[in-house]
Amino acid sequence: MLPIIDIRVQALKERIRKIKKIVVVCSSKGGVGKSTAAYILSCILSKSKKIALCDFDFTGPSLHLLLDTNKTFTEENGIKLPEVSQNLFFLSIVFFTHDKPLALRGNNISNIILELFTIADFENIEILIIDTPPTTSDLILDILKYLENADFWVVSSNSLLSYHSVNNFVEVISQRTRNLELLILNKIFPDDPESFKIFEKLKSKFRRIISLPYINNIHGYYGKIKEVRSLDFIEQIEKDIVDFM
Amino acid sequence: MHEFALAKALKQTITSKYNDHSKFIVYIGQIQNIELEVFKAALSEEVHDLNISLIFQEVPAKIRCNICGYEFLYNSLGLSDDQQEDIHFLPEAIYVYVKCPKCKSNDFEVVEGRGIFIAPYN
Ligand SMILES: Nc1ncnc2c1ncn2[C@@H]1O[C@H](COP(=O)(O)OP(=O)(O)O)[C@@H](O)[C@H]1O
Ligand SMILES: [Mg+2]
Ligand SMILES: [Zn+2]
Repeated sequence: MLPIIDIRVQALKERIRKIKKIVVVCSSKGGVGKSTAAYILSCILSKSKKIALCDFDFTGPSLHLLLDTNKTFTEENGIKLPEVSQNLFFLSIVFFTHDKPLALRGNNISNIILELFTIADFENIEILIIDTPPTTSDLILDILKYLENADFWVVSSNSLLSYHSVNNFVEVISQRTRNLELLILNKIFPDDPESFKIFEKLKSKFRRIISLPYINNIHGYYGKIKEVRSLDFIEQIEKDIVDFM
Repeated sequence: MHEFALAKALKQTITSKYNDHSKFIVYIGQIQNIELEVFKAALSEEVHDLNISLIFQEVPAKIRCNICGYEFLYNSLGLSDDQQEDIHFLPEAIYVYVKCPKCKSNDFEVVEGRGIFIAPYN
């Protein structure tokens, strides 16, 4: 008997071949600001590039809240992503679950990844930014398997506990990828630099380290792409990451 | 139509994996809720230049509860059109709408009838 082949595997390969850059925003820790960082960096990058911001936290999606949008896909040669702001496109499982809760096992997660890449139209998208749930579980392993050339942006808060966890996380994924591009230290206070030092050791594993300050009244920036772009630290971030794009 | 994306995926699989075959069976999982006529129309557009023949086989969706082991069929669930539409696009949306009819658990597995697969035959 000749093998039976899942048609989605090839579809995924061909989809990602056309995308210039795929960024995975990840961390072993929850609550460090992966989704927030993915949102802020998408606001910055969509100034000049076509971005697809994808929520791969399938059981705890939050980007629709950060983008403050209930826009959904349209059907056209597969599913066409909504443009939530100029050049910023969006993909989330909430299009299909309407934000109702669900529990998934690892093989469901693989199926969702394959399915989304088969049906989603990423035509003309230049950068895919993928937000992920915490931990080094099935999802990250699948990403390492299917999205071989992805660049990893690892998020940590500025604390010993986060450092410890992220340090181990980085050690595990660095055995599988050389694309540790950015270490993002999030929720930094102006009088913080002391504990900052523990990250010196991690720094050498990444091409760059950036820090995002603690933002007061962060909820006021949800769905406000222009306001995010005019925050005072944005210009520095833009300079820091421009050569990756 | 989302059937067009699936038709394209099928063509990509044939041209990259099976360019020395010309007859194929396409297995269509019931849970995909594919409109077969639309899918065939999309396919004939995609593959007409390949000179191949396709046979279609729908695979009934069988579900097994991971907690109590009960097996049940997708078409026995009485899902609404809207629910089936969500599952059509993303089969895992089934975990939002379905529970084991016996023990009400939401931990179950679609053992057959998910996805689209292709195999050559002689
Ligand atoms: N730079 C920041 N300034 C202020 N609050 C932040 C910042 N980054 C994240 N937060 C807050 O921290 C919490 C967790 O952020 P979130 O992005 O959901 O983390 P994760 O996706 O890693 O779980 C949220 O309440 C968010 O508003
Ligand atoms: Mg998150
Ligand atoms: Zn049961």
